[in-house]
Amino acid sequence: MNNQRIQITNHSDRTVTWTLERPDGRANVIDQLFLDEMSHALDELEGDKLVTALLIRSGHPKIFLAGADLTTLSKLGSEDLQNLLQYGQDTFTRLSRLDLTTVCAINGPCLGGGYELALACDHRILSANPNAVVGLPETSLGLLPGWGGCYRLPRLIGLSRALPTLAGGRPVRPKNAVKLGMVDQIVSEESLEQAAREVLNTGKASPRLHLDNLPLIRNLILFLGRRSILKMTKGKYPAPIAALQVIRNGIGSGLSKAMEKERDGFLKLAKSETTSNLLHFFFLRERAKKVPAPKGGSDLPSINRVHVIGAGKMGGGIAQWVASRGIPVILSDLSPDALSLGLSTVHSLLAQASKRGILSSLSARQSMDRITPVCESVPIREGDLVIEAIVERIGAKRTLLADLDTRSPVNVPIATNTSALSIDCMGVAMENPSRLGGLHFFNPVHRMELVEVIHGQKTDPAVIRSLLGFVNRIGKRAVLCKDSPGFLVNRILVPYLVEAAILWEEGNDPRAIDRAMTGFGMPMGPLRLLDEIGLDVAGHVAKELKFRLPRLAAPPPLLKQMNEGGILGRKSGSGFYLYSTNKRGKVHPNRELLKLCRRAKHKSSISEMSNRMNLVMLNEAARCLEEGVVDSPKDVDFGMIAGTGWAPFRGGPLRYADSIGLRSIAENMERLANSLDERFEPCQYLLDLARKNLAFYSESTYSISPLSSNQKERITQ
Amino acid sequence: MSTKSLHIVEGVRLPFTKAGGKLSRLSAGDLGTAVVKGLLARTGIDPAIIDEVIMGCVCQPAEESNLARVISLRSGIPQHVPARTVHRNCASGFEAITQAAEKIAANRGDIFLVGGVESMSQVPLLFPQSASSKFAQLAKSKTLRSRLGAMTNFRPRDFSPVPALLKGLTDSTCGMGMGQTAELLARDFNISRERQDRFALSSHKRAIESTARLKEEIITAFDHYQKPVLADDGPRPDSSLEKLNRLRPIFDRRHGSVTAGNSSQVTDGAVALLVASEDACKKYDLNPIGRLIDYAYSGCQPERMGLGPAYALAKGRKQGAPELSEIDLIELNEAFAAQALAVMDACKSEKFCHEKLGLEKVLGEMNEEIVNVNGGAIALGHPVGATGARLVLSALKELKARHQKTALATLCVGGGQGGALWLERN
Repeated sequence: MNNQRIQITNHSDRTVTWTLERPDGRANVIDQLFLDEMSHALDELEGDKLVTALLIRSGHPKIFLAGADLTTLSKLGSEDLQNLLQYGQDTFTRLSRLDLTTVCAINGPCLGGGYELALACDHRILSANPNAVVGLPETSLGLLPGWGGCYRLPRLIGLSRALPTLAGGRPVRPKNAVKLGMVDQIVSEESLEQAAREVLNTGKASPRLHLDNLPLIRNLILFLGRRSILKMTKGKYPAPIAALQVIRNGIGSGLSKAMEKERDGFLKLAKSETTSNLLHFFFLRERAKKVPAPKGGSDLPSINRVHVIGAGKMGGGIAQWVASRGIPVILSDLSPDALSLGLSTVHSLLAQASKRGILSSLSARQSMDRITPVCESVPIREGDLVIEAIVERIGAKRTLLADLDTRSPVNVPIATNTSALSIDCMGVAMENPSRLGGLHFFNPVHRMELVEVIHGQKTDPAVIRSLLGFVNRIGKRAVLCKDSPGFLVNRILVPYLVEAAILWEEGNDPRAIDRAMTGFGMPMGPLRLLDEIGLDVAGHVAKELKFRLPRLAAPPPLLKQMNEGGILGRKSGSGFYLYSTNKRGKVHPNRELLKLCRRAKHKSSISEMSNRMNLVMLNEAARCLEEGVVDSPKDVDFGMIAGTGWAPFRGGPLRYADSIGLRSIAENMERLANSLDERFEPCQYLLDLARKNLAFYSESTYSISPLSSNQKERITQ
Repeated sequence: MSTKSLHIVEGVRLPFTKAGGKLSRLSAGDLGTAVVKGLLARTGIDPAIIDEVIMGCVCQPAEESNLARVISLRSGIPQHVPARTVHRNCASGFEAITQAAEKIAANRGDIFLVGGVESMSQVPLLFPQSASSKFAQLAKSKTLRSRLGAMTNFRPRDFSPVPALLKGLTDSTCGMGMGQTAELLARDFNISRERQDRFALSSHKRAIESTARLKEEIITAFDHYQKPVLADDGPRPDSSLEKLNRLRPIFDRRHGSVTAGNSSQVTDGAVALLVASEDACKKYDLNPIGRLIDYAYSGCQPERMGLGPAYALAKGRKQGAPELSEIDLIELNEAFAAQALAVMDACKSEKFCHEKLGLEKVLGEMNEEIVNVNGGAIALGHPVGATGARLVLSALKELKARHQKTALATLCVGGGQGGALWLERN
């Protein structure tokens, strides 16, 4: 291997092959060196009149080519960024202008800049392996394709297909890629190179004519596209609109004008706060893949089977997820009917996944086969992991844990999925409490990638290492928390929901309360969320939290009354809102509630309400750091975004707080504490930071942690 | 006692349900996978130590070729463990066990997962052969003209499919259906309709009374909609002589005595057993529930296949197997009441034992008190490939419950065979 990025082979049949491969074996990425070598290689090809065709392939088994490394990108100043964009654009344009036929053999992920290079070729042949995704996901990071993607994709596949792909920013699987025309054909992994070589002598691709791209039609498409993008982003995410803008400007113009628009659009976004926040979240997610594992204790045997005890909604969801990740599961419950419900949950989840093309029907059947339902105690052996997801009652859990402790080898870790109870409290019933930890999944398991891994006081560090490794293995992301009321997410979320209920009691319209927060950027309003979670579950957690943290605001008697009246939210057909059986259509506030509870007439404005609810959340978030529930503000922000959908474009509650300034936040809170109630009193940690004029993120060294040079885009379900 | 004998470590079965009923939407592969997974979970063994999977199945599904292999892979047994499917008609369940015994005796393995599976609900409908070739011709026709021509070849009778089940239950060597062989025995041994019905009633009564005991060997099954099925649904608590009397004979409408009520039911079911050599039991710290002492298969007249067990017992005597007098419990498959009763009569008939079996002494009496104490195939059903394994499982579980020592499991086989397994509790 003579080069660092692109290995060039000249063949006797007058074709040339570029093999994208690094001597250190790391993933192919487009950096300065890559562009330099490509530029140099183009010099040679442009000068050579004899070469007829060029094949571009990857020498890395798992990836074709990633775009620019985000860490590097995020550190560049405006001018350097401008130059990098220009350089990439020019290089790719040179590729597109070569007289010879150019073909890409895409064997693995080819996203962002990597796909922009492929777009500059005449032909693209894709492997049928479902991991071989293509696409331009820049908008999901608050950026846009800046190396010719906005210019070339609509010209290749037509505006009506290019726009949703670009604006949506999602990776596209092979089957869809060929349907859209993003690649010419898909072939089996083994035949990829041969198929690509056969295409070498088919000649240059002629420019495609698309009806969509004609002036009148494209205007209509752009108009409709703009409307649907705005609807989706609610105006909070500028990148998709910016991409649309760039496309609009570029589609009628010549190449150099279009490229200029791309650069300008990219640079503008790069400076925006939203993009900065989205990148921040991207790095947080990457960081969550490598949670530093505590040292100590001797390693447990690696996990090859999971017992899920309790076949309720969570148990079923966990069983389905784990089984579809290839790990056999024993799903147990005392009652065959409960087990039956759990299996139905699994079955319908698998059917959904199959329908949406995420799992083939064979994979779905195989996942179902991996689950063994049992109504009895079965032997537990080394290599097992036990996850208990039974009813949230400390007595029942203690009994179960004591039983598990006696009848299983000590080096089998036991994890509880409790959302509100204390691990240490549960462990008192066990002889070996060191084997107990927490694995708190979020509902619904198949859509929420966050898992809180809980460290009890007595938990053996080896158990934590085992649990962290397991979370990674099943494709979830972990936040390591201390055993503390509500752990991280519920600790912050529930007082916020309680505040929303308090606002309702004060006489505010539930729609206004919810709008206050959806306007802020939450995916769902707090009262709607309470209905979704279920007033029974939420009520239990709120009660438990208040019991363990007396300082919190008491949940208003309203919640208890709703519980007792069977008004449990969506699951019972009515909560704060009324739910009819058909899921679509607006939901109406439940006027029956007014009979249950007299409300005061103290209405607040939308901004006052969002202020109160946000500050309550913030206070608890600060307390989580203060009490050492988690180590870093990054854990808090990641947990809240991944666990509740907290406005990602704001980067997380603590980053948002920093952007406002902790001084003014502390003052705001004191004002409310004086005028309303002491629950708004800022916590000591917040006050200290405010006084010293620091920020949450300035305590630790806030630099984006260095990533591996893969820019792996996650394909989330 | 050779250290190379087969020990039965543990076994489970699915509830046996009527064909076309609760578990009818599950394929044989689904049933087998469920029962094997249940057994593996209950025993807690690491499936990697299994030397081979051997499953009996008569109506083998076309899309689950070598059913045992399909079940093995789907149950999570590692790919390196080989698997085979065996077929000796109604004795397929026995066959799986005895083949494992032979491998253990030959030092060709120590631990086996065996059993039997049958989905009689999913036995396909068959087009007549005449239709098959016409369909093939149609598929081959390329031009419109030849296609039209091929279509006009069909005749109405080409579109009357025959249930393969019906074909399977007819012995082509003698041209008699299973039920007709039972009728023949009823006439041979003069077994009245009333006696058959009484026997049938007893089967149901005993099954109902033993519901609690049978629960031990049954694991919960989940149907096509993941609804739980907990118990056998064949036994009828409301069975009575009056009701049985009202049924008409089905195999010989005018002069017959064999009815649907005194025949075994058509059923879906699956049984799985973990069996091992004594060495393996020691090595892996397994506590077997029983041991196979001896076994015998014998051929007999296909027209009188129902007497198969007597022939197998005769062969057993020659091998030195325990006499009937030494047996504490008998599981005698009730393919038909007439057939089971004929066996019992034949075994104590000097004439029969002397003339037909060539024995000096009579085989002995099968005391009704100890035969099918938990009910038999008339009440529980006869999923043909699985029954043999169920007889063994049930016998061993019952020996344990009674603190007794020796059991005999025996059945008749369509085509004219008999099988017998002698078991001892550990």
